[in-house]
Amino acid sequence: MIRLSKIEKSFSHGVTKTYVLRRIDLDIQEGEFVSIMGPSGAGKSTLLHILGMHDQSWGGEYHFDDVAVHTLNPKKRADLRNRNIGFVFQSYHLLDDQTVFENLELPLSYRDVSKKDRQSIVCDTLDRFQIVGKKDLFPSQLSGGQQQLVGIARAVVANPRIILADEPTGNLHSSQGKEIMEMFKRLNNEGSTIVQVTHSEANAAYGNRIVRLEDGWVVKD
Amino acid sequence: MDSLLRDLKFSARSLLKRPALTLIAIVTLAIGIGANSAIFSTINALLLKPLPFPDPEHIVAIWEKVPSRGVVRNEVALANYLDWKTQNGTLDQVGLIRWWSTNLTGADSPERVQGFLVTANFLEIAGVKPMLGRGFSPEQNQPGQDAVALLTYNLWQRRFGADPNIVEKTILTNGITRTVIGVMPPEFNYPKGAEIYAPIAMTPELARSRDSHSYWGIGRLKPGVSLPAAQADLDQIAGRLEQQFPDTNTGRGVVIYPVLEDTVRMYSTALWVMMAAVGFVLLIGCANVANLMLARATGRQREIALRAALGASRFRIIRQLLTESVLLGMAGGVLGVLIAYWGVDAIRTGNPGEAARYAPGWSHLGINFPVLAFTLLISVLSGLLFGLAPAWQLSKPDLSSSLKEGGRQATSSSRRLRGLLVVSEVALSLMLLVSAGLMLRSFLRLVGTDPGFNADSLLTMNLILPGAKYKEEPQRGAFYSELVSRVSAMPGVESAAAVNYLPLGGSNSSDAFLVEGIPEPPHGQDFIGRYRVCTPDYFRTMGIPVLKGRGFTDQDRAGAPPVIIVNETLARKYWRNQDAVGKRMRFTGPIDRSPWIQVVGVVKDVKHELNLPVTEEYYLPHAQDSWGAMVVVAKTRVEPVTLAAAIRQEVAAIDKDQPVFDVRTMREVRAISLALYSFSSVMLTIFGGVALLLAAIGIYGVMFYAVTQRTQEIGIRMALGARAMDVVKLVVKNGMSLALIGVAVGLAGAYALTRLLASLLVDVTPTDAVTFSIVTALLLLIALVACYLPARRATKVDPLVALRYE
Repeated sequence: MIRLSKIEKSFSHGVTKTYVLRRIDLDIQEGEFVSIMGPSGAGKSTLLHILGMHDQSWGGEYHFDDVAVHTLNPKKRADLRNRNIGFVFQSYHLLDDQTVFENLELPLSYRDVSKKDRQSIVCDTLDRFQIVGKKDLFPSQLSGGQQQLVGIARAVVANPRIILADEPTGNLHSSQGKEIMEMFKRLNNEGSTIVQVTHSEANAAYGNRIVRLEDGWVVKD
Repeated sequence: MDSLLRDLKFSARSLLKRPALTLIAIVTLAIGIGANSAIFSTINALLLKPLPFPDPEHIVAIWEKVPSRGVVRNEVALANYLDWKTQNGTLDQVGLIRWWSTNLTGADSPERVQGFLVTANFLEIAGVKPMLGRGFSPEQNQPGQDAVALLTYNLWQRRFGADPNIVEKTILTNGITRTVIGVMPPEFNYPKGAEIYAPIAMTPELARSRDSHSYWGIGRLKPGVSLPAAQADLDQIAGRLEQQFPDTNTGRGVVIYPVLEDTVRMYSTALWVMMAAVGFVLLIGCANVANLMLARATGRQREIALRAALGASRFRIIRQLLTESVLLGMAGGVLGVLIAYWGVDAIRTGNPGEAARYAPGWSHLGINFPVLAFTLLISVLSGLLFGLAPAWQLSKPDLSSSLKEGGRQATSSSRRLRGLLVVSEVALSLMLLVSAGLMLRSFLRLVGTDPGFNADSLLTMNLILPGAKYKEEPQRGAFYSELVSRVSAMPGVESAAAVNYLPLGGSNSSDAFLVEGIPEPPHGQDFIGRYRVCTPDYFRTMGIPVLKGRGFTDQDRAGAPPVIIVNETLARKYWRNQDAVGKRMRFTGPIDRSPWIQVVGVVKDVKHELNLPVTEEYYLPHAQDSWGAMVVVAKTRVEPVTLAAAIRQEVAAIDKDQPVFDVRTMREVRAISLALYSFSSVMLTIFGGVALLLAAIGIYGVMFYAVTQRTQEIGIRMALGARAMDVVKLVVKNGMSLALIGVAVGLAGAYALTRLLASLLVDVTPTDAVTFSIVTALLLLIALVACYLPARRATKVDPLVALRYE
């Protein structure tokens, strides 16, 4: 599904160059649950954002379903991302002034889904995540765990093939984190490919593959 | 006191710490305050205390009125005045004034000076005494005893070198020797433009006349008498006169106005509209500065929270913040005074419609104490106005979050307030722009109006032949006949003529007439037409087409069968579907004195006021009705003004004592006639433009700030799939929804407000749909651009950077 080849990412400071990622080669198959681990500053989140096509400036080759992402212009990359990728953030990043229902509706509205279809999809998703009762609440009225649940629901609402999660339980206490990881596991079992960045071995254990990064290099896969 | 000084010191330091923001705020305020001070200076000089009377509130202007013809100010007949004077019980004094243009001759070159003939009690009514000598005595209103004159201070200085012994010396006016009996104090020149006064000589014939309307009435109310009481008193007298003299007084009443209101009636509405317009500009400016302050307040939450945590009361915090904004307002006021100086100078130089000559109080136009006091007042008020909302917002900080988060996030109430400010700015701008648009459309309509003649290459100049020297009609006829033929023969002149009243010249005369074959109208419903007298080549010179029959020729001389030419409107009204040529009409009165006159031609309608419909008009040949006051018109093949000196020489060659005045091209005459409209529309357009610019800056500023505040949100949206167009839509929708609310409020406001402009509009209704639509579209377009620019910036948000706040 995903093939990274010689991916490099660096920042220039005058004449010197600081590498964040060095010659990353990585294949991810459909249905995998991959955990990217490593110390702070190892390049985990950067790699995730390259996978998520948020980051546009890197070197190397990135193939998604045999589509050469590195040759696509930003607009085509955005189209490809919108069709295939969902994102879950550590800080949930729900929009404060929108209800749960509206937050879930948002990715669909950016994919030109008609209003009628949006309503039906969002209702299904609310049902699937068992948060129908919360649909009219604002994020500030939810606990952290509930907010992240909505964040995951929002990531899957457009039916992506792969979900990228950046430390999804980083802001949650352990019992809430467990619930969230079980949700990811369930999604994976239902066929979604999951790539998560995590510091937690316990969370990584929910997956079936661990990629370790150190100083921008893949040190273990 | 000490703490106030500390507040001031801290405020100054705080403003200087952010020089760019401070400078933007000061300049914005200065534009608004400067415009207000400049227009207030005009209002103060021309409307508030323009008259040289110690107590103008007791003085009234008195006019006749003819309600059936819609005439609310008609000149007064002398016999009617005498009756009002003797029969009223509410006025201490009633007097008359008559326009009098006189040629001052003698040792110096002849000079035409503006004079007024007055009743002896004129100075008593005005409440003013001469500076030198004495005023008129009642017997000087008797014929034969009227050869006296009072000089204004200016004329005394200019023409007589401030001769301290001028009293009892003689001067020559219109060929009559008059004794100077006094000099008026400086500043006294009522009616505006007066240079000399002489008594009205009330001949027995004049004293009986009720059909010659040439005077303006003026009166002084008895102490404690109100205007309505005096009006009721005069109404009763007018009612009695109607019954006693039905021939002349049927349908005629009398009307009084406060003298100030009456004097400034032509331009007071326009000036108050200007004042409202600059008031709007200042309010928009204040809204912009308030927005700046609110944006700045977000960054100051931590500072204020710290002050509150250290024990500052809410009052102290508000006082500190208001001190800052008032200081800012006063800095804007100082710069505003400079702008006002420039503005007043521009108004003075522009001298719209020869206001310097006709508008009382013009000489007081300037930045004086009342204007400075006004500026100080609006500076402080502006400071309070734009400072209050941000101060209120800031003075109730959430201590824990402000101190913890470093005070960077805007609260939802400050967002609402900013939105409200933008809505207000858009609404005020729309109201102002609609007003400007209506005035501009009126002005363009007027400019585009066909006056019925060709104003190109026409030079005009005025002459008044003195009655004493040119007593007989043939003398006057011969003078103008010779002058016109001399001017016509000059190189560079295509043709020349003379007319008593120039189209668009502002002066007029009308008389009642009868039409052969149509029954005489009942009293009070006379056939009235505008009375024009001209020399033979007038129509050719002015480019007025003769539609039927012929123009005047040299054969239409004194003693020849009397002839008349009428305009299309008159011909159509009285001889509909008939040929007017060959028909007869005559002036009212006994047939031996007003014989039938044959219509020999019909000419195209000519506008005498561009803003009014054409009325019935007739022309008589000058040779058969030889007026002394005429305007010479020359159609030139060269630049008209280059011939002015040569024509003056031709006048001097005929009569060396004959002055020429008001030498103007016809284009200048036309421009002066449009001055009120051009001045109002230009000023309103400038203020509308400034308002639009300020509103655009306001919208831009708010949206720019909103984008800055929403960077992370926009990043999240982009991470969730939002495309550039989605982000643009998000920002633009947000800004445009505010603009649309503003437009809705503004349209409602404009709909209500523009009715006040009705008296200034020509051929355009106060609710003109075209103007409303164009202005709305323009404002929305500008708002769209002002939203689009920050929106474009929002599309450049890098989701990675936005999300890195994690």
